[in-house]
Amino acid sequence: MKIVHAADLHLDSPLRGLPAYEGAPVAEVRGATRRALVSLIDLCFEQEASLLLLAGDLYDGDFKDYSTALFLVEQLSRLADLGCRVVWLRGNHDAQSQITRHLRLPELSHELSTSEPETKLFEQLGVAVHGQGYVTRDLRENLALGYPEAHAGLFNVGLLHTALDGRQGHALYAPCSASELWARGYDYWALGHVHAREVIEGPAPLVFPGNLQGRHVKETGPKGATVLTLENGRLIALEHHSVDVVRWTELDVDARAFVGFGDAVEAASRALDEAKNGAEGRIVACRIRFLGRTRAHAELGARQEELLAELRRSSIESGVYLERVQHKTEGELLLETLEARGDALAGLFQRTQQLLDDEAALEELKSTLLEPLGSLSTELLREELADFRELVQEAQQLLEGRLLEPEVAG
Amino acid sequence: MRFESLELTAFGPFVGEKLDLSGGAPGGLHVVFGPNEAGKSTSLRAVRGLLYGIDVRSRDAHLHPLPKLEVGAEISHQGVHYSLRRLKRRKDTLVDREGNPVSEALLQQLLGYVDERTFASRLGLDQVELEKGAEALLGGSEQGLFAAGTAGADVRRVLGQLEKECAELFLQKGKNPRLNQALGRFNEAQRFALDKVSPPEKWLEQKRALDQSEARAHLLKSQRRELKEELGRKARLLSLLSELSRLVEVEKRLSGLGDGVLLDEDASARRLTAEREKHDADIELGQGEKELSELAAALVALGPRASWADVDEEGVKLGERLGAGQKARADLPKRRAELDLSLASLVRLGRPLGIQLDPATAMQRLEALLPTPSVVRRANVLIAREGKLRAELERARDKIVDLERELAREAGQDAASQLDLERLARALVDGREARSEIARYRDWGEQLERERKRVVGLERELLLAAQFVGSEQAQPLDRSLLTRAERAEVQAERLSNEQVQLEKAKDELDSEDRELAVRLGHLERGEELPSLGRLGQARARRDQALLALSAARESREGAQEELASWIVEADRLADRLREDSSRVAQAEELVRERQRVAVKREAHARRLEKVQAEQLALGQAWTREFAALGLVASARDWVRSARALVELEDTRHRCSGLEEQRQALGSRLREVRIELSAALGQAGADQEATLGLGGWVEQAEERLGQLRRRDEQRRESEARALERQSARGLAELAERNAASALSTWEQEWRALLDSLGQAETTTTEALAEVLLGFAELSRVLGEARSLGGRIAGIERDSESFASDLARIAERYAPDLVGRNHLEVAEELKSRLARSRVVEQERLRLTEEIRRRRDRSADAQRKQASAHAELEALVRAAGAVSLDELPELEAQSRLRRELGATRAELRRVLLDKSGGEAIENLLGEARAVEHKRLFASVEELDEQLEELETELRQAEADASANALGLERFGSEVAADARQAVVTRGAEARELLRHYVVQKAAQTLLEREMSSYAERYAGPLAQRAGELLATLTLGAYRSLRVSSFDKTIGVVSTKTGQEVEIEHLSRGTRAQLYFALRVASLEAYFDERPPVPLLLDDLFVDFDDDRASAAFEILGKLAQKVQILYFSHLARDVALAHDAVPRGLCFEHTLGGG
Repeated sequence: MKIVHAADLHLDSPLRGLPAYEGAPVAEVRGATRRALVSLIDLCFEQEASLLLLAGDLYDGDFKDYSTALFLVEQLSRLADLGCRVVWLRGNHDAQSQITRHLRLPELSHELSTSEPETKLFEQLGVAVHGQGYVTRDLRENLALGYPEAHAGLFNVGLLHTALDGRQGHALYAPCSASELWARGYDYWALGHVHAREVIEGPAPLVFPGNLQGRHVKETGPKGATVLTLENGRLIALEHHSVDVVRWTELDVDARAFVGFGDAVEAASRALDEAKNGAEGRIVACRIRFLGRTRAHAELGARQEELLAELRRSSIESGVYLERVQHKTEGELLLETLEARGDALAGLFQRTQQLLDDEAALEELKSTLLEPLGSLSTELLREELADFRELVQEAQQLLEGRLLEPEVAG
Repeated sequence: MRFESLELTAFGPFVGEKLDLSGGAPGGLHVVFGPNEAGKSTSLRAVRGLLYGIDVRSRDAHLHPLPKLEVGAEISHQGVHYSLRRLKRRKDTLVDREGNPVSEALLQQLLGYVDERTFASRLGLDQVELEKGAEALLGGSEQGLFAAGTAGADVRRVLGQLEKECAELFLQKGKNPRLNQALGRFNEAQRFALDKVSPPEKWLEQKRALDQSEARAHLLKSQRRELKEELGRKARLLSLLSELSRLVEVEKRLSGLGDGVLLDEDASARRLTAEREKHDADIELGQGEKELSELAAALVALGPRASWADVDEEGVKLGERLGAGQKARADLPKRRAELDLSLASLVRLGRPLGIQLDPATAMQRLEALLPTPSVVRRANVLIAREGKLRAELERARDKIVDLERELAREAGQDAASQLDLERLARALVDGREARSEIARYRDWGEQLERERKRVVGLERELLLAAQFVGSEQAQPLDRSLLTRAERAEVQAERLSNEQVQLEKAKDELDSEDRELAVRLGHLERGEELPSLGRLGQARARRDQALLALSAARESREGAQEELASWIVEADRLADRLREDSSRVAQAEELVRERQRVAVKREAHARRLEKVQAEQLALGQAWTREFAALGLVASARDWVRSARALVELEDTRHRCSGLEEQRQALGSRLREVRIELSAALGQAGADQEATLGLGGWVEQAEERLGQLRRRDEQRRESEARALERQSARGLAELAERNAASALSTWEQEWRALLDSLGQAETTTTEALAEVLLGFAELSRVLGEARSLGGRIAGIERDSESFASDLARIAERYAPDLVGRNHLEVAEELKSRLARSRVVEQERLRLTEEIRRRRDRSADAQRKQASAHAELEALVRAAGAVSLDELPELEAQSRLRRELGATRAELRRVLLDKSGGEAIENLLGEARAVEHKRLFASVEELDEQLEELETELRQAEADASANALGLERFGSEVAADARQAVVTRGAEARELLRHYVVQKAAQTLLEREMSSYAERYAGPLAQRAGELLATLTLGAYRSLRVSSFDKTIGVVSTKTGQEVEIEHLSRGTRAQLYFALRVASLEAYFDERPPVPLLLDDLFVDFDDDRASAAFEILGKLAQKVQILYFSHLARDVALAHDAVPRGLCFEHTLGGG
């Protein structure tokens, strides 16, 4: 018998950070979370699954378009042909979602209660699913402590939306420890909330399958669901299956051996091709990061926009959606040599370097630069200027390129 | 560091070119002279290539392949020598003499860590850079000073680029810049997305509406079904009434006809056809008999067949040959006459050639006599060659005579003394050089005088200051102390300026804060500003009012007045709430603004404190140092006196140096004059008359000119004689060759005459005449031969034709035998034509008779067939004779028609009965009244129509509701949400780009401003002195405003300050040059020197200003090595004049 465990569908959540540019696969990226859900249901058919567990966050809390719910219903209805049951509970996003309140899922679907822990028995399958959904978004109590005792002779699954005792980048909702979960005596914990796949081994596996579709560059790698294989009421295999449509990746390109602009284009284009080849035919959304101390540092700084345009051309050829190009290189021009030079240009870079270590001065420069931008959306400004120091470093690199890089002979 | 030598091993056009740059250490001005195309620019690139690597796209690989490019140099630095080579390859491009890799860091260290671009823009300077520098000065003094001081002129361009790029990205109230546009798209996407969201409540509402409209449609459909059944039944009966009555009628007529034979449907038609065919056959048979008898009679009339029947082919040929025979008979006499004429011509043409001919045998005789074509060709070649050979021989002999005459003329030119010439030339070079130094000798004298006066003045000044009395006996001044004091002075001024600026900014911020406070107070004073709690209460009261209003509407119990009062109250509260919210928002904005101002004030205050602390520290440091040295005077007085003392020391030093140089120059001038007079052969002339050197030089130039001209003429004459001797040898050879060729020709000529039977003395002209006669004879002979051939052919054809005709006549027309063959031919042709006409008629008649017989046989067959058919029809109808048949046929037809009508009516009734038996229908029809049935159907019809209208409406409602519900299933809202994020990312990318550009621009501007503040003073003072020298005193100094750093120059003539904008382009360039040199002097004061590369810098300077510029470079060259590349010979001379002898060196590119 097969059980499929998924979480954090975040249906109709947009993929963030991908700017529109000519030739970008904008249309292909659209509806990625929906297509990932379709693939999940296809996976249930492929595996001939008897049960689908959804560990919360079916929607984005702040989105209230009802077509999202209709799409979910349509897809889950397909499972009736297979006779596959669905058990789900609300996560923090679903708790605040208006959609959830009006949702009526198909007959074979069962939502676990939000008011108290509940057990759903599937005696024919030999499975008991225990769990409780979120009644509010900001749920800080340990729900697991109230979960019922395991049913003897059945395969007991705990369904829970939690960050356990804390996970990077995730709010600490329904906190609990691994040992508290194991203490319930269940055979498997189907967890949700954390978007990176994680399996914590122990008396019973605690599994975060990760979300179905990565939504930004911090959610890289394959995304999908976990398939449990049971034999005689015992778990014999756990397997991850990718269902994502767009594969996020961060490409670190070693720039140390670069001599000039052409090397950067060549190396990054090669990396783009490799990323595409490794994505099993999916669309790849990626960020390129140039790293290392290199002779080409100043030239790359001076020709940032040109490089971006060039790499976008390459990305179009490779079938990759280029999110951003980051310059994290360092030049060969060291502060010590600048000091030895002791001229005005050296002074410029020395003072910029000092500025980078002076929070007050950085703040003063920031407020000067922001003055003409006062009318802009604060959301855009906040997100983009969060790391102002990095922007000043880029400005320094730009100046190095413009003032120190030998000019190309006409 | 400095270059000891530079080696262009393989670079551009150079192979192993080496420049020795060791002279003038530690400095030295090396003027590298290269006329246009000599590789001046290439050698400059080579130096850059050596120091920073050869460009991967180097264009200097035209002589050597790119991987073979190589530049080398000997470099010395602080007493250590380095031998380095730069290769063109990817790795380890810098190597030592032995080819071992050398670290780039070594070169970087030697170059003071100056990068390539800075090296090019600061330590290199060319005409273009000078122009750009002058431009930079126009763009703003801060930019100009920064450019001149350190960064090179293109810093202004960089700043301009950054400004432009920022403006292209974003403008505060712009629409078109990229970021503005992206923000517009982002906002639009947000609005669209908001519009497309459909919340669940709306879906539920729509679903309810759909369910209701579907239920209504279902009910109406059921009613319609019942009504339709009733109507169908009645309408059917009504529609069948007519068919039912016709059926009854048909049945009645059929029974009236009784029984009878039913004939075949086509019986009547068959009878008519058989009767018609029989009649036609009878007529045809009668007509046939008549026609056949007429045709037989005509055939008999043609008579028997002629014996000419087989002569057809012969007949055709006969016609053709008769025409040819008649034409030949007419031609033959003409041809014979032409042949006679040709034979007579042969006899006539043979006579002048000595050939006597008889017309009867002329043709045979001439065949043997005439020369063959190859002999004629050979004769023509020899005739043509004779003239050419004789002319060649003649020309060669004439040329020899001419050359011998010219050789005799060139002999005997006299030669000048080579030894005298060389000595005089050497003496003249020295003389010229010495003459150019006379001016310097005088200048030095004047300068020495000025410096001595300055020494006296400074000594007096110091005595007055009483600070360094007896300074010659005192300890030497610690110059570093003076430098530190001057720096402290500059720093103090900068801090003071910054303090003023900061205090001004603080005042502005205070004023802004006050204004904000006033605006906030005004808001609060207008009416008490509600707290958030109070706003919450007001909202609650408003909601309460709205609830009450709603309750009043629902209960409908309240009086109208009460309802109205609640409405007024709710409106009042809502208005009040809006106003208060707006004021709170404004107040919050003002508070935020004040916080921002407070942050700025704090930053300024911190900076001010820092500046004050720096000022204090500076004062304390100086006081400590000054007191430690035991100096009692005030720091400012001390600095002034110290400067005077330094100047005094320097001036004394310069005086002694000048004196030594001047004495050395005087000795040299004397030596040169003595040598010059000796070379002119006038030794012992007045040795003290230094000023007479110019006269000696002129005399020597004139004498040398004469000697050189004579020498030149002699050399030219010798060269000509040599050329002519060589030409005479060639002419003699040609003469010999021509004579030999002529002798061979004469042998061949004699053999030819012999073969033609001509006398040995026959000339080429005579033989040419003979050959022409032979050619004419040959042509006429050919014509005669052709005529003879044609006459023989005609005679042969005529005989053959006559013989053939005799044979035919004997066979077919014996009556014609013995007559002329052409008459026989005419008669036979005519007879043949006639017999052909008769034969064709016979054939036609025979064919006609055959066809007529066939048609008669066919008519007989048809007649028999029609008869049989009629008999069969009579039998089938049971008739006695053919005449009864029409009546029987009519009865059978009627019976058949009625049967068919009855069957059709029953079929129609069955179709329309809806399964009801026809007998039942007939029964029902008999029972019902037609009119009442019609009215009932009409009524049911109307009811159905009304029901249909209602149903359509219900279905339309359901369909519209279903469509509305379907829209909830679209992905538009989700897609719009993705579009918002995508547009946002686009705007963020541009925003980030803008902030980076703006930050770069701001940092650069701030640095420029700070640089100008720090260095404007000292730089201006020194640059002013240099400008005075450069402009030959037209401008005497430079001033930089301490307030806004504007630069002005002071005109010597008017004493007024002139702004940079009002200077000429050339003077601006000189100003920029002065600033650059001043900056470099300051730079090298503190750092080890690095060579300067100057490229054709003074192209646009007139001679005097260029000379002044070289003088300035000469001073700098005492400490710093300068490589000055020029394509002007003038620059070389000016540099030699302006720069002390031991410092100036000349190199020529491509000339060793």
